[in-house]
Amino acid sequence: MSNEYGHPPLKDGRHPQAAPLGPRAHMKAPDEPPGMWDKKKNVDRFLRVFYSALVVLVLLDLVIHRHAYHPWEALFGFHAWYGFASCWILVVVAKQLRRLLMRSEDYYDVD
Amino acid sequence: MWIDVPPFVILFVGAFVAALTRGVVRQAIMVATPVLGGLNLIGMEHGVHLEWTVLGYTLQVFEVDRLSLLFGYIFHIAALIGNIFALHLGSEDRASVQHTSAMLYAGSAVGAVFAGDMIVLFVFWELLAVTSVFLIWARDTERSFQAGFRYLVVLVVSGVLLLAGTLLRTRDTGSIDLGHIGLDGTLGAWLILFALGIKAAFPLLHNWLTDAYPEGTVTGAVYLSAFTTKTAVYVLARTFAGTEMLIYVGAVMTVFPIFFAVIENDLRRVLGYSLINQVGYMVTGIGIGTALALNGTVAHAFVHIIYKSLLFMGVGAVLHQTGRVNGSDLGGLYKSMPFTAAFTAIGAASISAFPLFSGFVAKSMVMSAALEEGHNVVWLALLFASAGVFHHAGIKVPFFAFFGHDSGVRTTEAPRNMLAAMGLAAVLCVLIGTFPEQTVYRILPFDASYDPYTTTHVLAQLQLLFFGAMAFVGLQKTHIYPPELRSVNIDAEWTYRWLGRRMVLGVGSAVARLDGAVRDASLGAVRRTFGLAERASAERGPREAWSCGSRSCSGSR
Repeated sequence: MSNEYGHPPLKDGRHPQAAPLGPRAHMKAPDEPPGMWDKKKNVDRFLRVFYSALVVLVLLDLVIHRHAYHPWEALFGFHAWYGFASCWILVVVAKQLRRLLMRSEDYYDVD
Repeated sequence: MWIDVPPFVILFVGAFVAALTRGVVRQAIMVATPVLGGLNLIGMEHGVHLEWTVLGYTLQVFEVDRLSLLFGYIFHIAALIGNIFALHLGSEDRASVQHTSAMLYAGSAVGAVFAGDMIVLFVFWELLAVTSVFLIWARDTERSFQAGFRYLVVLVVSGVLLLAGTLLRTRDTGSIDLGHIGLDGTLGAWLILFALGIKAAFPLLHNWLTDAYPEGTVTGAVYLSAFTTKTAVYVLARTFAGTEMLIYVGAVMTVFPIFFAVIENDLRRVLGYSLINQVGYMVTGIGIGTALALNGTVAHAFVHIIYKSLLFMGVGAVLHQTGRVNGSDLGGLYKSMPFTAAFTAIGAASISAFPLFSGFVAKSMVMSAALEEGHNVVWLALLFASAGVFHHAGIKVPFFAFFGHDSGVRTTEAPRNMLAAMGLAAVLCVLIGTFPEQTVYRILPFDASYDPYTTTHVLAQLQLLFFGAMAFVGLQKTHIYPPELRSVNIDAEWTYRWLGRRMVLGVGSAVARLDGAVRDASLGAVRRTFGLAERASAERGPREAWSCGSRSCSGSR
């Protein structure tokens, strides 16, 4: 019954559900054609462009002299690895914080 | 076209007319009022325009300088965007309440920034809370009702503290001027800083925002995101510029909310946490207090209001169309709402400070100022937070709403007025980001030159953002990225929403038990006394005086 965080279901035994759809929304028809980003080919193409951009941005560090105000900034590709590490650490730490902080959706609603 | 009417009066009159009219007439008034009010500000002379003498004090109701003018402009732009976004409201949405409340709220914010002294500021400070709470209550749910009450209590307390601090200062200095205060060690200054800190959502004082804004109406949250915290930023910039403590308070504000934003499911609450992060940059800038830092603060406030309302509009349009706002219940909406998706992406690029978008030309001023003044650790924290902003507001919000896992939810594009409001905000984001010299830099209050488009800055920012995005791709591909879960994450508000509630209930029931025990014991003693008396009287023979008393004494409980 518990999810991956050992988070218990609500007190009445049910799991919290998605909010009901509003009057202007509906679920997709079964025969709906796949959208642009449902096709793996498009996603892969997008990611290839993205990875190339990463390489170019790091290589630009070799040809462009970034004016550094802080000693760390002068390191090769500083903003690249700092940005990567920041986001990675942020998410991993936040995920662990769930153990401490996460409660059921109606935590404040029930006595 | 300067007519020397205090700017808030125009918005207040508009609010009352909006309350009395309906249909197309009201829609025209909703659009025309902020436009007229904004035009009225152009070319306004600096100085005191309106004084009012009461009880021996001369109140400066309406005073203008470059700092207040900048906030005056942006508040009118925010009111216009919000009003256009709300044009479709009908009577079932309590349109009259919402429209009137929104324009009174905007007028109160405008009144506060043109206030010339602390007393006038206090009046508008409290009006900000009282007029805006209806934008939460109009959602008509039990949750919004309770969240609105908590919001009102916290913000009214802020006003009471502001008044108390003002009175103490007036006793000491004899002046009610709204000028630099700074932490001079007096209780009055601390009280005022505390009052401003509540409204600016300082750490541990911040939960009224993440509690109430996501419970507001779809259109109400757009206004809420613009006015209250930025009014506090304005007053802080005026009164506490250069207060070193604020550098660190602001740095903490930029960092801690992004952890909550990553694991929060309600996308409007994610935006609430990211709002606190953004205000953190402004507070840091105020703490640094140099001309560049203060320019950075107000430029950031200016662009932030536009892209933050754009993001609240994008997510609000999704909520309006689908009835859902949780990341776990959404996804794939780019198929149904392509324009909303595109506008939200522009808002996301702006808050992430991509070159050519508005965040890029503002946020880096505060960061440059931090480096110039030698606050290296603070700079690293701000840089960490910049990557983090991109992660949760730039990627997470658009990704989980419009792309990501296809939830199968289908709908239609948002109403035309909503698209128009989002389009206007998106155009402003790109215009300001591309032409900062011709737009926001022209109206900055302090003298400090800054060029955002240096090769170093552009390359560094692109590296930071692209490799932040790389981390997102990597975390998704390795399934380390935490899934969106329907949940509540406890925060400082736990102390009053859970602990405080239980303490009050616990103390209450303990008092009730003690009270019951004392009453039972004393009644028992009385009964025993009468029993003794009855027995004694029975032994001696009956007497009138005793027999009548016994029934009433052995009565209740």
